[in-house]
Amino acid sequence: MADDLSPPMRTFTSGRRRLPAYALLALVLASLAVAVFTSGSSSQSPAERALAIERDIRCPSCEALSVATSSAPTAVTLRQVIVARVDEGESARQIERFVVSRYGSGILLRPPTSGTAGLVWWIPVLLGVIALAALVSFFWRRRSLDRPMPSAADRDLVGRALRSHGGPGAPDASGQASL
Amino acid sequence: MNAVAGHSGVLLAFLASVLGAGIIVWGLARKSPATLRAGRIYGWLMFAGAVVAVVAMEHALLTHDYSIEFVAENSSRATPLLYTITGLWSALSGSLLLWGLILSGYAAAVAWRFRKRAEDAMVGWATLVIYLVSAFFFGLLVWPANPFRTFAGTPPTHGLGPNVLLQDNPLVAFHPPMLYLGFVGFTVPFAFAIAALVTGRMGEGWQVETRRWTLFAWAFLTVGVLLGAWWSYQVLGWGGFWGWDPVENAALLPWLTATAYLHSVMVQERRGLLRVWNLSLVLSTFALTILGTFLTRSGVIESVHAFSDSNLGPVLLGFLAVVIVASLALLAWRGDRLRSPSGIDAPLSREGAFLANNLVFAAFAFVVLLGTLFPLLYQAFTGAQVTVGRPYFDTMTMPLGLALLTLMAVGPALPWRKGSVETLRHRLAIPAWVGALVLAGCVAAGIRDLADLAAFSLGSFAAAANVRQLVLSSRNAHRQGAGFWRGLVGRANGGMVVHLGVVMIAVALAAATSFGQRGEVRLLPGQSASFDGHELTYVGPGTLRTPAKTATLARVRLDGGGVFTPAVTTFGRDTEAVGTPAIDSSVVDDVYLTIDELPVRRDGAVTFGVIVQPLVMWLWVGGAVLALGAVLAAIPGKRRRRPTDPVSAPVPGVSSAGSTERSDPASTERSDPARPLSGVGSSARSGSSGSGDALPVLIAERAGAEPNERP
Repeated sequence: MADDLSPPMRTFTSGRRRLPAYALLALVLASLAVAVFTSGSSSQSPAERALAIERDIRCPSCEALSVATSSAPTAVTLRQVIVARVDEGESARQIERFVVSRYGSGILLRPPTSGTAGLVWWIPVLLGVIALAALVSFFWRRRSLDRPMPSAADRDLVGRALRSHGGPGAPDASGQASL
Repeated sequence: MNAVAGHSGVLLAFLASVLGAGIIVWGLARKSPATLRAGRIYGWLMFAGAVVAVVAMEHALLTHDYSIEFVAENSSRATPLLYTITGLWSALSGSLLLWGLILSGYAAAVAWRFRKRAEDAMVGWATLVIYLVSAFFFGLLVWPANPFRTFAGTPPTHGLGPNVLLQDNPLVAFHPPMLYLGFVGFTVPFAFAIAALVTGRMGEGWQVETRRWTLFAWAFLTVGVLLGAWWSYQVLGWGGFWGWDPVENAALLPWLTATAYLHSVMVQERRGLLRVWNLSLVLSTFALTILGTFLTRSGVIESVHAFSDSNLGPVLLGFLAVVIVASLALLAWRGDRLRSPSGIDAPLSREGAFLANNLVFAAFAFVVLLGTLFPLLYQAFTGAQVTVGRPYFDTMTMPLGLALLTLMAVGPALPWRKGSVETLRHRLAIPAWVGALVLAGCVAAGIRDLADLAAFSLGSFAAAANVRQLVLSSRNAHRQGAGFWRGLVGRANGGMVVHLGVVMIAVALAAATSFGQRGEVRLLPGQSASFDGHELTYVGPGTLRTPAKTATLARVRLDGGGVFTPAVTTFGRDTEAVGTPAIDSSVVDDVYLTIDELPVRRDGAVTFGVIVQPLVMWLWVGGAVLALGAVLAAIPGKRRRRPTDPVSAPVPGVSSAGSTERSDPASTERSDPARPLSGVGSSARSGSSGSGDALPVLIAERAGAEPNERP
């Protein structure tokens, strides 16, 4: 029933207003393209690489802080170790393996994505996908249901009700509804 | 003396809650209005008992009555006045006493607010639930966590003083009480939700009754959490404000579900939908506050907040289990009455946006809950250790946060029932341009990280969309001769102000975490160094001695202007020193100074930790805006005069005094005689769309949702 009202609405936002929408889209896409293609993620400096690793490693004497943010002595020492190993050309994985061998797997702030511990990543993702799928199928089914359309008698009834409520032609004054 | 008075107060409160619960059960069973009315007085008795106990404890703290163990452990003669007073909540049993005071305060407030309707079964059941919860907490204070325990032998002559972290910043006087006002406040909507389930009056009545209670509890919790972030920023010395610490998460969890509820409740009031969902949100918000208490107080999780472990773990876990089982059982029992009369018509509608909002909040809460509990579960099942830290929470919640920013822009622009792309395009054209221009500007300024770009552009998109709503409603209010400010009050408009605060916080959070710089500089007195565009000059060392503490200072001149003094402080006879950071805040960025290494000799070189983070101040400004918005949202908006008045906009030519474009369904918020507590309100609605009052609503929304905008 509501769909009957939409064609007149479409007319008043058409034409002139379509162009800026495309311009808007073009601006957003162009900005994103510039951002993506000019970001040289491959050329990280050793200091940046070290920082990225430090962020994922817990300060051994703290509860939840990473070695990147803690100023505890153990964190300072570990920071120096990480910087030295990065300078020697070790990969992030190698360094993490070394730290785990020293302090145990609880030292990594980022849980692994594989194995049983990986469940912490996959359970929310899985549930999210299921929820989205359920929602989409719900609206899909609703949409495909046969909706009763208003008959001519219904329209007449509504028209009369409107006229008695606000005088003849009230809805037309808005320039939109032509029931 | 203090101990006797305090213990009597606690006992009085406990007995009042138990007796009150008994009387109300009797009254409900006998359906006796007089008995139910008599039950009200016990809320006041409880409150009186709690006040006596708190006054006795404060008196003991102020007079250094060290015969009480709690006083000896949490204050000392050298402790300054402020931290002597806050000593009440610097350890477990005292903070439970504060909890009891606030809970009994809410109980008395409920008794007063509903004093004329005490014989109503729903009020009776809600009061009963509040009394039972109070009985539990006062029971804790009588037995396992008695704060008035005295020394068996001779009392000590000196006290130990509070935990050093709790006597270094005045925010400790505000953060815990605010948080507790929020936590405990959710007991009221919880009680009414249970009452609705028990009495079978599943309409919107219970929500309407507790709307402001929920809003205030939510606002207190929000402010409490933000004050906690501010406190940790100023005290802990790592320059951060949120560490995804288990206890922080425990406070965030009820906040997430309560925020979801504040949104979805509007769908139920308006359309009668999402009943089970709303009940579940309220019930789980309360359960999560208990879970948070359990996590903080049982010592199962290591945390900076675990100021005192205790043996309360099993008791709290048992209470949590009772709450969850009772809630689920009631929901299952009433399941058949909870079916909604109709469904959501279209995904592109206001209720569709609220539904999406709720899914995102639910996902957010689930991720935080899973991440917090996962290490425990993992260890229980495999015996191995795993840490779930900041990288996990940042990665998982970032897309959810961005989704919320988007919804904040789109949701308010959508009409109820069914929107169209054209409406959206029309209403969001300007905000979208603002967002796109900000995006282009950020890219031009050299920002390349996609998450940051998304946060800034979506944030400005949302801010512009919300400002647009406020401008429109203010203009509408002005045209109707009500003054511009009228467009800022009421639930929907106040909500827009809250959104603006949230956007500020989101943008500041993204900027501070992504563009912060941290490093160390080592300086001799008189030397200068430059760090991330700021000039630091080490002026010289200093010492500060007060009865409570001894601090070694370093005076640092920043940018040739003010002098700041980071310090290393030793409290009382504690041997361990804690760093006290110094912060130079400005609207652009914060310079955060710590002493990382003291000089060996007095005039030796000091190693300073320097952290420069942009926009940090806007976190706190955003918090203030948010609190203001919550207050505005609590002020009644414009009310519709007749139930048949259009809710969306005045239909041109129709003489009814229509309300503003997005006025909320304010008529439901007073106890309208036409809409008593029972499900009448919803059954009137159940005639599905197309009949009754739905017709003018529909026409109003479709035909002229925004009369003042037509070209």
